[in-house]
Amino acid sequence: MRVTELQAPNKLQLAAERYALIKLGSLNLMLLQDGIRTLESIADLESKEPPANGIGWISFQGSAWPVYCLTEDLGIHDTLPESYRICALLSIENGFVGLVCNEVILMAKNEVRPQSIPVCMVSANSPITALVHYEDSMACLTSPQLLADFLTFQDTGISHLKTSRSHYG
Amino acid sequence: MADTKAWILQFDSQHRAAVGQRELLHLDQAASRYPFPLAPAHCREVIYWQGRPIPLMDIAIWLGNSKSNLDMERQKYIGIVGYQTRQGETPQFGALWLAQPPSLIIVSDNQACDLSKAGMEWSPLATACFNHEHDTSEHEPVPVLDLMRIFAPNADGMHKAQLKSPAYELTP
Repeated sequence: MRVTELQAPNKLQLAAERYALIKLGSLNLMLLQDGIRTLESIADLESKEPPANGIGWISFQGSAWPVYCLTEDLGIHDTLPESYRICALLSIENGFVGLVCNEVILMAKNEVRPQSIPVCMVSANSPITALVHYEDSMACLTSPQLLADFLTFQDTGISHLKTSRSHYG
Repeated sequence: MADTKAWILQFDSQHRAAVGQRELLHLDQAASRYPFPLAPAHCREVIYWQGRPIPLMDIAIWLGNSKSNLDMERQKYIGIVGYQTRQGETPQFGALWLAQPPSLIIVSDNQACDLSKAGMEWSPLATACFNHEHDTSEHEPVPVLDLMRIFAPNADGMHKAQLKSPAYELTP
């Protein structure tokens, strides 16, 4: 079941200013909406022979793409929390990567003002590039590629993110 | 012999330190806190103050107390502190968990003592120390926090010598 397939952004309409929030527990990840290719139900997740540190595969455009489950501390979840009901399929350089989450919120076009991460909180391998204060909350700005690179790093070098699986096992 | 004012900050039942009077700017009990992943264990939350993201530090955790040894009541107040990485620069801000409201004291130069008396665990966080009479009438060493080193660890050390703060005048 495909929940939503997002429209390709029209650059003339400044779609790059539209952001989305991916909620992982109390953590809000913010990224450009055009970095999210589709939203899938986790009911479509194939959990047989999952990728290293991942929880399964999701089928899209004839291939299976690795799906990961992160804690609100960006640690690896071994099992899928009941509250994670959506898989956001993120566009990366050579395909897609899935990230399961509580909720995805497509934000109205508005002005996002990134603020620097305090120096004492910076981590060399973090996929987070800035902080964004919006409404009464805070989000961590990132991108699909940075998240994919982070997951690859977590995976101690196994580059399964660079290729999809051709078929389900 | 110069006297100066300093705030005593209590982090948990065992750990206290001081900052200069002008370095503590605000005390808060109800700030909204936001998680920030992958940061050091002692600094994984952000608060917003005057529209800026401010790192919230738990000095008790930094000093190596395991979670099981920490008293649950230590995170009661949030002290907002200010510092400069160089003289004349726009002030930077940080926040510290406190177990009690800060207390203002007067410190004389002749109270200065060696930082090692407070314990080696303070060496990454403090640059000076002074003897202070505790409630029990016993003198105990109180480290003076180096806020720039705590909140801006990569700032150019050359600028530290330019800082003008009562706290730094206590260096023996």
